[in-house]
Amino acid sequence: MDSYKKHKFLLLDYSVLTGSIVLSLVLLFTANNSGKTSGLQKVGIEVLGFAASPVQDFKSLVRVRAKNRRLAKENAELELDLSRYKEAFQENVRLRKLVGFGERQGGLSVVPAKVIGRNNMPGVKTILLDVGSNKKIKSELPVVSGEGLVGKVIHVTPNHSTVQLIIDRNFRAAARIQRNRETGIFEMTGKGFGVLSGVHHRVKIIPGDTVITTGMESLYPAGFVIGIVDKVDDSQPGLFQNIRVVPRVNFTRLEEAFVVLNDYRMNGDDSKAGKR
Amino acid sequence: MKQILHIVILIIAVVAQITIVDVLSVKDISPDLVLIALCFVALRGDRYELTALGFFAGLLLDSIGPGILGANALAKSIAGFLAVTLFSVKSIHHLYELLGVFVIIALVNFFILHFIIFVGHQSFWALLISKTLPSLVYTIVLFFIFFFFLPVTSWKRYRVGGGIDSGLNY
Repeated sequence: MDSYKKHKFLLLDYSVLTGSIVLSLVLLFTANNSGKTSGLQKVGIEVLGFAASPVQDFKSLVRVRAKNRRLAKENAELELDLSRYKEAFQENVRLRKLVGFGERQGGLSVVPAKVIGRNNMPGVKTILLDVGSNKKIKSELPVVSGEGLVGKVIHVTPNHSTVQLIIDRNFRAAARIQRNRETGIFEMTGKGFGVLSGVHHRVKIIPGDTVITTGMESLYPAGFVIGIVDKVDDSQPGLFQNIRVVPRVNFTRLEEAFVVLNDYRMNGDDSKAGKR
Repeated sequence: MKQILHIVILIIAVVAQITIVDVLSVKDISPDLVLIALCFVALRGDRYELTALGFFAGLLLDSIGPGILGANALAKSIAGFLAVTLFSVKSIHHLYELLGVFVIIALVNFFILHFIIFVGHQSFWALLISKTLPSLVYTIVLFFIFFFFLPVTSWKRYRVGGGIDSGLNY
């Protein structure tokens, strides 16, 4: 091979490498600061979404028999629970009337979605859902499953959306201990568990306590389970305890999720949502 | 035709990375299937082609991440370039030689990713040991298993040039 051709190829090699590095750095320093989904990212999400859907369908099909059996059992148990809760609800309505409380706002409306992909890089945890702006999905909407809070929508395209999971190292949410109503901030440590910070030393927290969303920050409706207190360390100096929380949702087995079309923000208090 | 096949292999790897990798995950530790595919393609492809393919495969992976667009694109394009370069340095007759080259490529890829994701994090080194290293080791193990079952002719290669920039593939 002649020297000219060889040098031409070498020039091409290094040009493509330089171009790729420069483009990557430009993306790293520009596309990530806006907080919006870039056009490039939208194309990527749509392409991956369409390619991943059939694979996920096949995976679901393989698991459907075992799942069906489990759901039938769960259904029977839930039927029993439901009848008990109906009784409790009726009793609650009667008691509220007795003490003069008004009726609560209606339930939240949700959009069911299938998990068709996930990003499992160290520390970065997202999933790809098969619903997008065509189904009224917007950024920042909360995502839940039967087990509890899953995360929030961060990128939306017409047919797909990306969800930042609560196990992502950048996730934070106002949280509350269900038993004693104490509040704090839940955040992940990047080590497979989260911490509930801002809870005073004097407050008694017990391993096994349930941590739920407070509803105070208007992003997540109140009462969704975030996790369970795993360990409490109040021996450290300072005002607050070190509370270790294990997320409730099993993210490796998550196949379906529900995007909450937050009625509170959309209907009840638009002005508040706009100010955020 | 060869290039189209390479693109298809990498698209399959990216789709597998976001769909079936959870099946392979052990305690939150998952392998990098795209890196393995990139090295597989690098045994046959040109350097500029692998650099570009690595960039676009990485960009696809980045698109479903929260706010780190460009991290995988950078790591994979450098890994693609490095893979073709290192595979051209010497003849590869044994699996351990192939594995040795892959370890270097994987180290570079994972270190770039780790640096971009965790830079400034207070437990940078702890996360390197607890998160990135296990993924790196798992990817290397999977690479070994994958190539162990492939016919030797699919990865065995002879050095025909005179060094790194001698242009083995030209």
